[in-house]
Amino acid sequence: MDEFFARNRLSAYLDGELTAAETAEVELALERSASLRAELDAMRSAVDLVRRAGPLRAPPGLLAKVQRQVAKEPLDVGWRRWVPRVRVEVAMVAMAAAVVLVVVGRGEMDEGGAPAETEAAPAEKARSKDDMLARKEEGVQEQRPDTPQQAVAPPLQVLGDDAGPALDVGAAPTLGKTQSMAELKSDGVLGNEVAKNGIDDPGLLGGRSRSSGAYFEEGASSGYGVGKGVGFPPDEAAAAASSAGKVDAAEKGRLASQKKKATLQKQAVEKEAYAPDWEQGGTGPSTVYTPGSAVYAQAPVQYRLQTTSAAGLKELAEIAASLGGQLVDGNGRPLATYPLEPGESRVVQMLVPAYNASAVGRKLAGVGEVTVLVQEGDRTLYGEKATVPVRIEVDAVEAPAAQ
Amino acid sequence: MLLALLSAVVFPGFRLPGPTDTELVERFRDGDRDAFSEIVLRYQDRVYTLCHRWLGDAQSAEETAQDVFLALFRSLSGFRGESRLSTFIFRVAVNHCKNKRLHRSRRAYGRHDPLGPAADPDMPDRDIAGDGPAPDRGVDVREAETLVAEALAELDEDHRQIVVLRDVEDLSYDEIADILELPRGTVKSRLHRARAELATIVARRTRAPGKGEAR
Repeated sequence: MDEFFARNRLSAYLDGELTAAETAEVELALERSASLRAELDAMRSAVDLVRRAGPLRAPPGLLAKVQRQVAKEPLDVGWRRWVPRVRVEVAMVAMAAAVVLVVVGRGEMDEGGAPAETEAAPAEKARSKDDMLARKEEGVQEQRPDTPQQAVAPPLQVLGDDAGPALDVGAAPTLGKTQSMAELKSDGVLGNEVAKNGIDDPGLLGGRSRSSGAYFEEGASSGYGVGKGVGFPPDEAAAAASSAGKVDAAEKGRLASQKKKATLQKQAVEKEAYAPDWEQGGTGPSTVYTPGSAVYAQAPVQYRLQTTSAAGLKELAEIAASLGGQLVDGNGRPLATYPLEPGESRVVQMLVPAYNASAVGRKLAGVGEVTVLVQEGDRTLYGEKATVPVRIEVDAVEAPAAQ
Repeated sequence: MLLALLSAVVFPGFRLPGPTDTELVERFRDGDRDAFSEIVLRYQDRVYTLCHRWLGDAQSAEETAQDVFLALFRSLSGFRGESRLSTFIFRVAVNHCKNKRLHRSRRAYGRHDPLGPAADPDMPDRDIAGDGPAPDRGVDVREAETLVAEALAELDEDHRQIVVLRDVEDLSYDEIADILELPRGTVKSRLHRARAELATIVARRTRAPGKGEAR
């Protein structure tokens, strides 16, 4: 029985989520391996600790505060309040009948094509409508790692000083695939080498059109470029919700002005020719970037590192320092480095300057086996002045026995 | 209503169970604001707990919980009931917590400055007066609460999110998959990694002094 197989199933084993066959295999592996048993015990202890801490009580005044806030909100009831329930149901039946008539009518016109709606569709729509409504006020769009690439570019997050307009970018790194640095480059993920002025790393920054001085190139191969899609701010979710027809006039006005703003930004980007300040030798933090002139680039910013090195986090801290950055914990706070024991896992971040972010992968390859992890649809861009948080999941494994 | 009255008369002491979530939503959609208050009462502990365990402090948790219920008020009239109300509420809560963290980190990551407060990098290992091999035995409730809070705070956000949903809120894999809109397999594997990381953090924090100190 493969210990690796069992190790990756310890959590599911604790929850009784394995099949009978898998459970038997895990138990066999546990019998044979003391280190595996220790890992299971550690995991069980940690889970029990969290469970025993238990739920918290909401502060006593919370309900009153919520009631005060919602007292000012209109209740979207409309005609329902004044119409007896039985008439509501009659109206629903009438509407359903009307839908059927429309469907039948359309079917006749369609020369035998499939009806526009099926039984399953309304339920699906309703469910997705619930989803959209859940996101509507929060303005966060979640990305499913396994959904196919969407026709519309998801909202771009842009981090960095004077972020300016967001851009569509080209190739995304291959999800979950272990790639060598050469592969990452040839896939356009790391960007082309810069015809640079003092930047040694073949970093994020893609090629430029020398003749025009314009910074941005079209095409996917550079890893970024001026594209058709312009990222909307997170309220894109509200735009999606508007198609459900549940948006009031104020919301529509807000969406319209957002769209207009994005169009203006896109136009500004397409017109602007940019010569980066660093090209002229200026790199100080006092450099001012005007909207439309900031540098954007994309890099894979999530890795999994499997390492046998006992020096563990200390090595990663040294790498971070060599790139002009620092190693922090998964939440961005300073981290005390310590050697990881085999079987231990830890998420850390390297906060590095944007122009060195792509070098992280190469350096990690010297410490262990690297897997690039990127959520599909993850299109975070970084301005040149930005600090990029490169997330690394570190797994310490036992060194293979000497032969 | 009539049924409740009859039941009370015929079977003294018998009480009908309270309205279901679906009934409360229906009443709310018919304009009954009290129904919304009832929903808040039902879910405020769970929402607050989620926010607190995720964000790490009481003030943020309370503010976020308020935002969650306000958002719920605004969107509940359109709720079709195809998913459970609890799933819907948790989804709103998760999104708000994420937004809150994103907002904080966006401000922090926009510059080259070192991140966050100048915290003491030598985080002290927890000194547990334990009397057995299991590090959490012998720890009193308050110690455990602090340890849990600190351990969760150290977790990466994706990992904290899934540990909170599973081990704090006690949701099933399917419910978590629904809330996070992830495939069930991803929930399984992510939970595994999250718990593995949690185990590492807890073990380190509860190592006896003199062994495994931060280097």
